[in-house]
Amino acid sequence: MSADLISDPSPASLRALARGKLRASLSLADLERAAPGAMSDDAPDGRLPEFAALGPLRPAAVLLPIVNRPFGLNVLLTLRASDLRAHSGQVAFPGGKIDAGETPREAALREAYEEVGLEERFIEPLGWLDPYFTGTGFRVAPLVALVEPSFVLTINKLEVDEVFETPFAFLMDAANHRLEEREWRGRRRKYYAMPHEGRYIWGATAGILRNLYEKLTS
Amino acid sequence: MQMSDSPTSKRENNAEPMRAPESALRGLGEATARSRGLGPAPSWNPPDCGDIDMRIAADGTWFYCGSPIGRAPLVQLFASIMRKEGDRHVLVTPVEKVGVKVDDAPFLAVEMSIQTATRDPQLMFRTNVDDTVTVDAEHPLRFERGASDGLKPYVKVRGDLWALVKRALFYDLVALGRTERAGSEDWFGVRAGGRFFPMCRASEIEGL
Repeated sequence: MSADLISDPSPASLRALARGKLRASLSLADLERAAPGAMSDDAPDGRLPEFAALGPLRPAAVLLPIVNRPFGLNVLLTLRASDLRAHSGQVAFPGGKIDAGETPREAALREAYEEVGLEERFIEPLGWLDPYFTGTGFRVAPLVALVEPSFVLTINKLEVDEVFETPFAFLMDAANHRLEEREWRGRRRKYYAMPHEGRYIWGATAGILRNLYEKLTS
Repeated sequence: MQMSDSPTSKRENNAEPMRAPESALRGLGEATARSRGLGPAPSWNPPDCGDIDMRIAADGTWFYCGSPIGRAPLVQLFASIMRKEGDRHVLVTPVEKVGVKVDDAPFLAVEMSIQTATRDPQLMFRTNVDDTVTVDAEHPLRFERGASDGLKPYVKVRGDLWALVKRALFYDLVALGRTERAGSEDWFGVRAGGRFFPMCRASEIEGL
């Protein structure tokens, strides 16, 4: 199964895997109740950061869009605008804070539309990954989705500098998952990095992709 | 970066819908019915249909209309019908020929194995498109001085098509290196398949 994922993943095999391995639904209450998942920031070494010290974690949702190109599946990623407050200049999924009265699903789809103009009619949600807790104070609900490639994007330059695609097969190959370490806020922290073609995919984004890999291959 | 550099946003200016690469090249099925590793038949001389928006990045990733080609079998299929014509890399089927852009070398050597059982060591490489090459007179190693990143090793795969040897393997090559006299100078290089492939003058090893 995992060999397929890497050598020649198809939308059909991804749909079938997702049905068995991902959560079908995730409510805001589920997200607020969740304990830090095994794959949150800093978890690669088995230790969790002191999330309590960060105060209440704000609920957020991201879309993990897997574009069904005729020549293979690609993950759509953004390069966040360099003057944003959080995670500026970094590779990220479309997504953001969940507004009052919104479900995680609504927030993920709204953010994908606001940031890059990806319309809901191209998006086929496949399921949810476990919430991912970031060291910057968010509990993130990742919605995995297949995306039909006929979309035309409109990039909101206030939030996103650039949109690019990275092969799903590359990201789902554990040989490309590098465990790195650096000093941050007075502590050595470990994180995943998956550099590809000059793009440095790391931190929460790489952690969520690693989580997807572990779910799909478990 | 500017918006126009983005592969996905670039598509906005491109009103014509993207064709699947299978259909982007006519005669592909016929072309690949030949056994792998041979390349396009030398006798094929189809009309030149210009360049298509296909690019091979230095790390071996193939891009079509700005998006990476994620399916490895498809990349292998395209690679199997490539040849070099002058400075140009082209994909050739019996009915069509198109040019593609190559940033560095068309292939990337991703694995190396060494056989030292014999007196004459054999050096084998596997490429990103799953070809294997044994270094010999027909599949030489060559070393080029890069603009900023020191020496870059290449191995010839077939025809005039070369694989850039992945950076991590370069250090394994250096570890295999020895000094031999060639002409009036001492050279540092690698001996494999009965030949010596010079890397640099022995006096320049310090710079590696």
